[in-house]
Amino acid sequence: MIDFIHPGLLLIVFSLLLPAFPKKLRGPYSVFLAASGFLLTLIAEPGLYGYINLFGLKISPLVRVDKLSLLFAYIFSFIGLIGIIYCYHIDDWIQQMAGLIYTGASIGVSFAADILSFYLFWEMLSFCAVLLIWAQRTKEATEAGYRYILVHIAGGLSLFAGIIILIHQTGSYEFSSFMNNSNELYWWLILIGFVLCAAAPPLHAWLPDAYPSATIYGSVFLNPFTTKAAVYALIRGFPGAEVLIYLGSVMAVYGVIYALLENNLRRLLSYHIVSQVGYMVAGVGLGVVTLGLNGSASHAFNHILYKCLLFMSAGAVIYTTGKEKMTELGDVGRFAPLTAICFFIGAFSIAGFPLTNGFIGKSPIISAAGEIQNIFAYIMLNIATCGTIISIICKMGYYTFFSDRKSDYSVKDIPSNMKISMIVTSALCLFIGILPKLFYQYLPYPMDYEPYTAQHILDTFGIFSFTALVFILFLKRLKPKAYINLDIDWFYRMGCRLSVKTLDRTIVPLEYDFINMLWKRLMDKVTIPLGRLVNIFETESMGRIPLFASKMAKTLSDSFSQIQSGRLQDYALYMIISVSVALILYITL
Amino acid sequence: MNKKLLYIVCVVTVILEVVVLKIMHLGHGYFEFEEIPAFGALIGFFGALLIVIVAKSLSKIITKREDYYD
Repeated sequence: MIDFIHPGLLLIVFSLLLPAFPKKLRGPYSVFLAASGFLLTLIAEPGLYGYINLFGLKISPLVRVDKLSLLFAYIFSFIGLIGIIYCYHIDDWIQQMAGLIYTGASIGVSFAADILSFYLFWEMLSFCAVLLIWAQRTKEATEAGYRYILVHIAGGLSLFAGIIILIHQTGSYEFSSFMNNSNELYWWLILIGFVLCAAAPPLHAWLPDAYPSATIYGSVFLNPFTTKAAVYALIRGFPGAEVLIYLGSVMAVYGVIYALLENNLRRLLSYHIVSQVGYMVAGVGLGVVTLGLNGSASHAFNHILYKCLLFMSAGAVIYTTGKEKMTELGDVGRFAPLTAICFFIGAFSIAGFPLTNGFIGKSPIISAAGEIQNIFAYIMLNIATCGTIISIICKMGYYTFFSDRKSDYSVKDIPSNMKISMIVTSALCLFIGILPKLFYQYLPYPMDYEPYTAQHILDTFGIFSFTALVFILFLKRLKPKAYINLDIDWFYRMGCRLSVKTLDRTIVPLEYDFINMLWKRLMDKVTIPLGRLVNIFETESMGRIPLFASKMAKTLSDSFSQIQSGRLQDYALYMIISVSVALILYITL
Repeated sequence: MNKKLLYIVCVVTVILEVVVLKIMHLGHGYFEFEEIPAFGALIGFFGALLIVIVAKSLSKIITKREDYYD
């Protein structure tokens, strides 16, 4: 009797069979696989499973299923299924396979009990992500993919160094809270590895760089997994680390400021990931009360739902019109009402409007900031809410769906599988928002929290209406413009360019000069004298051979020409002689 | 966009905040500064204003043409 089948491993192993299927069966097979992964996660019983013998060391357990990991595994496997349904119609098995492995690896991250298998699944995430970015098959996507993987390898190395020091110092392979040994070297190294994947400034620039470059299906897979796996890892490893409160609060505001300036739909949404993950990181930092940790977990869960909904709607807009800049769009709401409705459900959720899952998701984090009496986090997170409203509902909603058309584009309808996944996700966003108690019982720590208090609802209404007022006042000045905004990636993009240029000016000429000098010397000292020698040998010795041959030919032809006299009677004589010789031969033989 | 409706919503929200929270005392904040009447409206207005001002002044430095990296 097998009491536990790892849904992540199942997804990873069986998705490798995908290319072997005929084209028409790939969609159904990947949906079937994602659905079985989701079902296996649903039936997983809490407990510790598995062991492995590695170089004579027994590592046990390998798999830990508890409330925290289950919550994340539920949402990872569910959103994997939604994403696979969303890309059901495409004829590109690389994206479907990468999506399935990505889902499996993030389930693996949430179930990993020992730090080594955790690291293995963790690294798998980056490689699936880069496949989804490259699947766009443009020059821009290729470059963004390379930058993505380079940044993540750097973060992964920091994490790996931390893990090795941890194992060396403590001798333990278990992945649990590191807070007993805070401020040690490995503590910082592991923390850097985690917050890089959580996209905390100044280590965040890979996210808005890479996610908009992926395919529209790829970005649905990209946005839930890597950053939220990092949030899971932070909740597990660094609950209550004070530095995270300030990091997260700054992240939350930083993201919305950039989002407000953006013109590209998916880049705007990417900056919102930075901002929203900021709430979760702050929640982990506020985790000295379990309300903060619960808030992080619940916000991560709900964030995945509405963020995927937003990315799916943005993907639907791009699919419908072929444009992804607000300066080129304008009145999509007129001919894509379903996309518009789904987008606004997602937008109101991310801003935290009452009756959506965003409201019940992030309320515990802000309340935790209040309970700990941390004014900085409390104010910053509320300001970030204003920024979210103004940039996503007001700016993106208005200038994409309800303003004037700004360029010519033809319109096509989206496939029904995309509609299904958008409708299901929107319904779930509203369902969780209306019945929060039903959802709160799945949170890792027991809590008695009521999000719908008069104070909270009225404050939210105040924030919403007055932020909209500010948007109306600045309507003209917030109009999207066809520009890009520089971010921290400027340093490594320009830095790399500068270093290549410096090399061009310094090392390259030096090398060329050195090799050129050597080459010239080789020519002068060896090749040319040798050539001369050969030349002499040729003219002196070899030159005689054709002369001899021609002389011999002349002699031969001279003697032969005596036979060839040119007179008819000679030729007649030769003919008679040869005919008679032939006759004699014929008779005698 | 219906501006009048928004103005009405804003006014109603402020009235509700004052009536429900300050006169009926149906809630409590975590900090003292939350006891200011219509705190939600204030933080909404000034928070959004702050974000817009910071973003706009930052854009003078960071906003570049689209072919900047080419």
